[in-house]
Amino acid sequence: MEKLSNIEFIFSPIDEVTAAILDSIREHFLKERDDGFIDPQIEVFISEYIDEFKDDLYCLLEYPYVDKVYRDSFYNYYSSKHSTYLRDCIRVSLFKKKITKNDFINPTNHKKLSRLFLGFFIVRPTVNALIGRSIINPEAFIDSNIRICRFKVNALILGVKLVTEGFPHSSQDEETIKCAETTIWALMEYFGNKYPEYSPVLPHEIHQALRRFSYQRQLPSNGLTMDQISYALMEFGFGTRIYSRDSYPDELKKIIDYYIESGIPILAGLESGEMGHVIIIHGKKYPAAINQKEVPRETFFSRGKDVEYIDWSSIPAKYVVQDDNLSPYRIISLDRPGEHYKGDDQQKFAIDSIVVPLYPKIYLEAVVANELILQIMKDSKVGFDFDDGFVQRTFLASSRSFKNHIANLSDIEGVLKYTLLMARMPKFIWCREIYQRLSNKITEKQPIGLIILDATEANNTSIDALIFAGYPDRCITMVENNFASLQHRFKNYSCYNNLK
Amino acid sequence: MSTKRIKITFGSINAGKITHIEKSDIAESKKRIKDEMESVVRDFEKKETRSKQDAEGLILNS
Repeated sequence: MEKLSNIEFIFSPIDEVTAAILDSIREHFLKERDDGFIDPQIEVFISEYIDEFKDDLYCLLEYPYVDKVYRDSFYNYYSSKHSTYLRDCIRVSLFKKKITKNDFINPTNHKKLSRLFLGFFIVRPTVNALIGRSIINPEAFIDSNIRICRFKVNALILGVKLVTEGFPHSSQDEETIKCAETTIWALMEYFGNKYPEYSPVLPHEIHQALRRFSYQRQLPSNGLTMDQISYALMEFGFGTRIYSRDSYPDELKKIIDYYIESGIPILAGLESGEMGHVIIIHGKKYPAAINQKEVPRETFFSRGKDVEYIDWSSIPAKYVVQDDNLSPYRIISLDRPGEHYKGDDQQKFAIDSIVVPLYPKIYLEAVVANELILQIMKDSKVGFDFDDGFVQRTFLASSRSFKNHIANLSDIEGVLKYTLLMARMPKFIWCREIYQRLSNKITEKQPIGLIILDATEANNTSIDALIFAGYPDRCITMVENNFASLQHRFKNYSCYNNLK
Repeated sequence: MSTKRIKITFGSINAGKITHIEKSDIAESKKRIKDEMESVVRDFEKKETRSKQDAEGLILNS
């Protein structure tokens, strides 16, 4: 048995990294083949993957690297096969600028390395499914002007602990993890590393969670249905919700937008004929300028007249997805989720249903919350008669993050700030910000109204979910179990963002 | 004896600025909103069940 007792490192500018990866594959993964032949398709695949990155990055390759996800697949599946599969991977770390070996030796340069570090991706020894787990900062990509759900990740490289932020991605290996398992893994990797309530999971744990649901062998994987995905996520601690296109033909995009604005990554099942695929939607790319004519208006009847308004979800925007067949952070339109595919069938992908991994005690979901807030706004006692053309933006927030946002606002009146900070709130709240009109630039928005609902309120027909309402003429809140009006104008509040 | 302690409460912050809304007015609003929301919730519950059934159909493995 050959034993590699040391780890080999290669420093490379990004324009040479495709060749460096191919050399490493030839040297380590294909060493038993005399000719060292690499399928040209692999070359094209790696080259296309690397082309998505900015061209001034610097890379550090290391082999052997023990990747926890591939090792799990190896011990539970690949090692049981007749053919020989390797157990070690190559890790490619990415840096903003040139780095040298001295940067790792000299402790005074470690801060610089941390500033430059942009994450890593794994090259698996499964030659037909090379790109494994990755957590890469969007800054590494050419199109990096996006807002996403992100978490901090630590990596130990040449003994130096480096930190960056991103959203997990992996390509499927087509045997132990198909798109369904890959999306569950990525979602749990995100939640498990960000919140103490959840834990990251490995592929065999996903199969274990679904064992009770399975009436035939689980490996090699045949994929999963959306309800199986939802079941697995429930087993991992979520209170999931499923929304299908057939049930919500007109509202599905709005629901997706509400949850993405809430900073909750969602799983979207795509269908094209008999073909099914699943991706994670976890961010948004706002247009640089808004064409007012393109934005549809909605109306509701209140106080004897029709009131016209714009829902934030109607503003044309693109969404950021992790698709295990494509590079990380691809930007899609919800009408054409298959737009980056070359195949005709995949290009016709349409969103069939979504699974939303909610915190289990969020009992008030998006559809009912939206309607309940609208009813509150329309009410003559606790609502407000906003002028035609107002814009509303709806999202879930944790009360901790929301209060921290309030505390950091410098222009808001002190009494109003205290009122919001001292209000008793549950762990999660539904918020609706109301803007006077739609500006041409997405960044030019200052709310004139704010409504906060208790997202843990299961009695979803009741006004009792109302925690706070701020309007241009007054505020409404609960005082000693009774609703009261406060003589404060709601002003100088700045919008809250869950996406970073 | 003087104390350096300072207590802030919702009442002290908003002193003189609070007007309780009549309970009868709130009861009226509650009833109107409850009536409006009942059909919304019924419709949502139907759609929730149907969404679950729809999610059983498509195998995701591409």
